[in-house]
Amino acid sequence: MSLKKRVNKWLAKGIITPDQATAIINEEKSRFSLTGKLRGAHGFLTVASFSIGLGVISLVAANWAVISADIKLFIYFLLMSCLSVLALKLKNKSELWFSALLILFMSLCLGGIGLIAQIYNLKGDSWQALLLWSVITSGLMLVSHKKITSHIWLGGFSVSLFLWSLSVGDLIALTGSCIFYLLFFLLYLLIQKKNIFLNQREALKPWTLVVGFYALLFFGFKFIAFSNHTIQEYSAGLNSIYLFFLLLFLSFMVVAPIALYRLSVLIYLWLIGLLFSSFAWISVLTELSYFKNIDLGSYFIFIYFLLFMFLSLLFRIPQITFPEFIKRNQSIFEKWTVVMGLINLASFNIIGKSAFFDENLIHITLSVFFVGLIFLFLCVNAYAIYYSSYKRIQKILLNALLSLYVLFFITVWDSLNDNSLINLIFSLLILLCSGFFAVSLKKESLFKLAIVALILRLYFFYVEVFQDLIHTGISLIVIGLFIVFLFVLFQKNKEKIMQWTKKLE
Amino acid sequence: MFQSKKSLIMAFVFPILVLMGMVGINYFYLKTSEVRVFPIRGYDPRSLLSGHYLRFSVDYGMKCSSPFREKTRKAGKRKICPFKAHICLEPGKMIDLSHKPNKDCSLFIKGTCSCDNVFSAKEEYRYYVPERHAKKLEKLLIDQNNKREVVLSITKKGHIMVKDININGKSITNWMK
Repeated sequence: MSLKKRVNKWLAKGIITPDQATAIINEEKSRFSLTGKLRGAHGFLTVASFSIGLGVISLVAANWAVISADIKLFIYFLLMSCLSVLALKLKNKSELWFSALLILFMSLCLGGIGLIAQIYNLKGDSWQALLLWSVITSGLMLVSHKKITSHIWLGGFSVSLFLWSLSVGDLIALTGSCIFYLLFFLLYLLIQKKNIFLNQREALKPWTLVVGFYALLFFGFKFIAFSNHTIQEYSAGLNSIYLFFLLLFLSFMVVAPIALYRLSVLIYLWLIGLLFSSFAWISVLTELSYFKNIDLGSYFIFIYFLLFMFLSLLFRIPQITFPEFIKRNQSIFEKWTVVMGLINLASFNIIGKSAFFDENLIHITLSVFFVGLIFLFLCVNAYAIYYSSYKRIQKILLNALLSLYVLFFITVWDSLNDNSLINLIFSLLILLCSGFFAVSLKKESLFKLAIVALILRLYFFYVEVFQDLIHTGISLIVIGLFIVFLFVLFQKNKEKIMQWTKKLE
Repeated sequence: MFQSKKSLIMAFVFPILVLMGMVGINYFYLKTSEVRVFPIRGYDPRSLLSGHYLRFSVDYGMKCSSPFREKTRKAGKRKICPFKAHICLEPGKMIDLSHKPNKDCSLFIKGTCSCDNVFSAKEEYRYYVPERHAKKLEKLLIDQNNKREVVLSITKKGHIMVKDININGKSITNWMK
């Protein structure tokens, strides 16, 4: 729940006065002035921890043969012991450093699992490693006051469930996914009722929805895969009819928004269409879809992202009325849009390598059709941005973001796609733009997510360029330590820097 | 809740203890196990090297022979393969159904017999290799002219660990220099 909503809740209960409510909200807003942002620069310590942890994991993955197994294990456990002692000593002195060290410790737990597997040549799936990590770090998640720790833990735990479901047979996976969702949901209800683990509860809500959404999509994917298999088994001709209806459906999703202002029932139809397109989305990502077979997966992935971006924009147009259930969960849809954007950034390279304009006439025709749909939908999105209640600077940033996404999408067609540097530049520009947009919205979590995504993108760039996990790992550790150094320097000269930034504002 | 000093210490100590326990258990297995050498059978030549570990399967030199076919026929239409099975290595080499060997058998490997009468203890074995030597080692392993063997550590309870890989009689670590 955002601070504003909590403040309104306290006000309604009479816990605080209206003046106090205004003072609290103004204080929160001031954190997002440049001066306020600097005051909250401790988020960069989290980023530094993440970078160092990722660097260490890279070194482990490189399986540095120069050092013997016994020495590796000795150094590892010595490091972990020192970290834990330092964190416990700093707990009462600085919550900030304690949290940073805790996140680093959690990252190194995963590194340790990998190290032991390497030394003893243990076999295991990724989901097993993540599940073990979740079990051993559950205590750390519970003792932390920071939501980011809960998000990291819940993310790791959820991913282990997803990977498990992909590794087992269909029926077990379907049943398991539904049971896990129910367990998440019941856990959320229980801790809400008992009013315990407040920080963890706030993180648990979105993850419960993510797991639930995944279970639903998984069910849908299995249905589509089954129907694909059935169709292909019986008749090649049915493929064309299937494709025709899919294209018709996508056309409706893209064209319908134009009439949304006039026919409110279209909103409901459009939202149902969004749900069905989610089924197709997950089947594209799991590479067993019909779309993948005809090289159109990346078109669909991009349109899917644009659908959610459009929905997020619709929320900001006062004339459009939504069903109550959708309004209550507006922030969830907006967050999902962000997640879709990140997945697009990560997957363009992978999925977009297929031939878009090859010599096959059907491919060319379909590609032109999809490009036309995308162009039309971009115009619709731009139109929605124009009529939205965003401020001028926010509209400019959104238009810039949309343009960058389109240009990025185009580069995957061209041979420039093989140029890692061009790809990196686009990714960084998109993430920086998103970061500035987050600051303009005063959404701190979104800003941090953009920064983390930026670091991860740099990490993958290092791996591509250096082709070497050792150098990547060392670079990340150096970057992390450099950020820590800058932060310590900033803390020592805080007052002078604050005065300087106030002059700028 | 969970904010007392004791809880904090436990939260940090628990992962370290678990990981130390994993090291301890695997170290114990390696120290108390018997070592046996088997030829390597390729798992999938295209992905013999996956990430930075080698994936392969092992030729135990024994096939699940006709007694298993008899059992399948006797069972009628009911599908009962793959079967639980084990290979007894000491005192004499033999293969039999179930995961419980005779009392005379002092060293055994647990596994399954597939419907094709192929015995396998694990789907795949792994051996982690340093990143910069990975491609070179892959070529050595794929080359059929090289004698490729895996050194397995086998505990009294049939637990298997990969200890080393030999190529033409030399440990794989010698090929990393």
